[in-house]
Amino acid sequence: MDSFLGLFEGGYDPAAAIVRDGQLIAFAEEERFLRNKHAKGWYPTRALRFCLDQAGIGASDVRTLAINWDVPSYTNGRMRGFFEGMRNEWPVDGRTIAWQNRLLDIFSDQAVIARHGTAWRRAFGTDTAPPIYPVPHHYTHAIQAFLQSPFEEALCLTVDGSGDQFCTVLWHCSDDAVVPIYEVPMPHSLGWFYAAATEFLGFEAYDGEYKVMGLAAYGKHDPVIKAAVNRLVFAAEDGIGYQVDPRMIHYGPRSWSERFTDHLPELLGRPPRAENESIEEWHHDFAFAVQECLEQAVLRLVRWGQKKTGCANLCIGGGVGLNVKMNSKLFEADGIRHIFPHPLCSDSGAAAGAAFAACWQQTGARPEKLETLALGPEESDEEIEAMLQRCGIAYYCPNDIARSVAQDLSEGRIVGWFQGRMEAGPRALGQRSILADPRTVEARDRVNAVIKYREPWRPFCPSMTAEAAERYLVRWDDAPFMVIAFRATSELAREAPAVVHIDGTARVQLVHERSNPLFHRLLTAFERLTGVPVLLNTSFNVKGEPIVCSAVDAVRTFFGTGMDTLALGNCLIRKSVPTVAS
Amino acid sequence: MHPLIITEISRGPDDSLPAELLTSAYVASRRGRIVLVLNDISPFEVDDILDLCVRALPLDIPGVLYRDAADETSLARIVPQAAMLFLSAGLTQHWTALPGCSMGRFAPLAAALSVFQRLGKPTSMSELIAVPASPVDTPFE
Repeated sequence: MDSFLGLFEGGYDPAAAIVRDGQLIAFAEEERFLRNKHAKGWYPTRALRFCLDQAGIGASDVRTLAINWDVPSYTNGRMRGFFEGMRNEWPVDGRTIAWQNRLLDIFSDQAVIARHGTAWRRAFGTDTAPPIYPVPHHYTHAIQAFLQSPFEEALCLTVDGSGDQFCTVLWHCSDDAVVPIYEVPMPHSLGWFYAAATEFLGFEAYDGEYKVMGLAAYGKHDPVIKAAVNRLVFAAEDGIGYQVDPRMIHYGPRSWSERFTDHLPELLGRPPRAENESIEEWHHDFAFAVQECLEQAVLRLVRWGQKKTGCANLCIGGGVGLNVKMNSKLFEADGIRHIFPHPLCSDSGAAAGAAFAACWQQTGARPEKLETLALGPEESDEEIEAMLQRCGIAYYCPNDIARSVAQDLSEGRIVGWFQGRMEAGPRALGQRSILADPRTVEARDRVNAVIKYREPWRPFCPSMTAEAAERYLVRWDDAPFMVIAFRATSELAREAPAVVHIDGTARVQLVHERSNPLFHRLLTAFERLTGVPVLLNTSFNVKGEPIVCSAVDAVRTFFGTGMDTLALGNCLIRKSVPTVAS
Repeated sequence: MHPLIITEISRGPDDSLPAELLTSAYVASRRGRIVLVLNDISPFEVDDILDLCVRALPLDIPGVLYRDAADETSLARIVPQAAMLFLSAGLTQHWTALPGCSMGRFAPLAAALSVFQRLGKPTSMSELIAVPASPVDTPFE
């Protein structure tokens, strides 16, 4: 059967994916193998090797190498003409022109073929890479988000930094027709706007956006800040779209950051926060205004699209779709009944999107509905035991790993949970997770103090059995992938306070027995012991590192932190001496 | 620009040209270059069918390229770069013997039309405006 490879390379989180007959056989981000968070700029050679191995094929068996860029438009002068138009509209600075020229260069047909050819010759000794198959950027996001959603008809919002000419596109999707109905071109980028705010607040763009979102919950409306932010992003003249003032983001001198110009501190009336400075009330309120501004911009667009099409279902693609608060607001929009933010909505996930598009276009096989993200490498119990014996680590194999771990969790131990195939995407979903008892906030604080070392204001998230959703969530929709937050009931706040954010919401994973049987069994076992089918679930890594990939990574992280128990497949390892913070 | 798809163009049993295949291939050539391998057909005959279509679409699309089926030297150079090749049985047998041409990328000629129709779907609003809903039912006028 034909294998379609998708690759995302050159930016943050390069990744590889293999699709066959509409099924995603394998997906992985390069950072997991490289052990370098985001692996910015790397060619995803290791992820590619894994995908080929998982599919049981060699490099020469790949039918097509699909990429999520409209290569012809960079080659035939269309993008050049578009950039020239941008320069006529706004006073563009030299660095931006250099950036535009760099894009024209690296995404030209000749450069793309040469770059992939070189990488494949180095990695596999082949003469060339497989035939390159370009798919327009936002179309890739939309195809993936809609065709993998549970819907037959939907609106689809794709929103990111930029892709080809566009920053945001609204689509009307039905059957296999994915039709654009509204476009926001460069430079009006909500992704860039949020990245600018992220760096202004002293965090790193394309990594620290979660922190801004978390911080926003502590803020309040400040009319002065709001007025300033409204000069940065404002409604378009048609009352549907939005515009971003690019002089604040890119077009001008940038003494503080590549993500915003010196006009932004002038507008806000204060210098950006340095990384080592404390976070003040102003920063909370600024984060609040930024988040609100983002939500208003997309809400206006979705409300218009909902009225125009009558669609009650909404899909979300593009990297800004990882903003769970934005997704929650969109779910509350009039007329929207169901929502599906694709959990692989960012450009790394578009490796899978491009492979899906190539497979569908070439064979007619539609992408499968998304059931699981357990698409990465796994290790068998035999391999795990051999490694533990090699390292001289004491372990035992209980009759029921789920029951033993539930017992440890109920006694307040923090557990590293390494099971089956690694998850794709930024969320731990019960394959590479750190788990804790959510019934007290002390457990949350201990996870932070001895393992994660995160800012204390950032929330931790719950995994709960899907059957418990009605009990714990207000107006919820199915959410197996932790990409949307719902309002928590008072029962959740009372029974699992460690996983309810200060604004009363929870970014939840609903665990289904069908798609995640072992993790569901663990939650059920924990419920039998405690009455609460909920666990605090955070990614199995420490600050600044990617999520663990191999069992060795897990062991290294386990012994380098204050975790108490490690469940590696069916093997259980317990530290005999309680950790200091416990 | 590298060829995305190579497809043979040959006459039907009634000696007619495959007009729907040609116009769909041209619309699909927005996504990448399509090479039309003309099997005993002159470029002028194809031009006649595509003229209206060419006028309706922007001139900066990758477009189509004509190659004569007998031009083996030229075809041998581009065949390894194409994601798909739609050829009749006779030509398939000939071209699969070339180095770098995996059998998986060859498909029967009959499969080409549906691939071009999926590939040619509009991905931006400017493309929606440029193309009628169905290039065959609604001639390019």
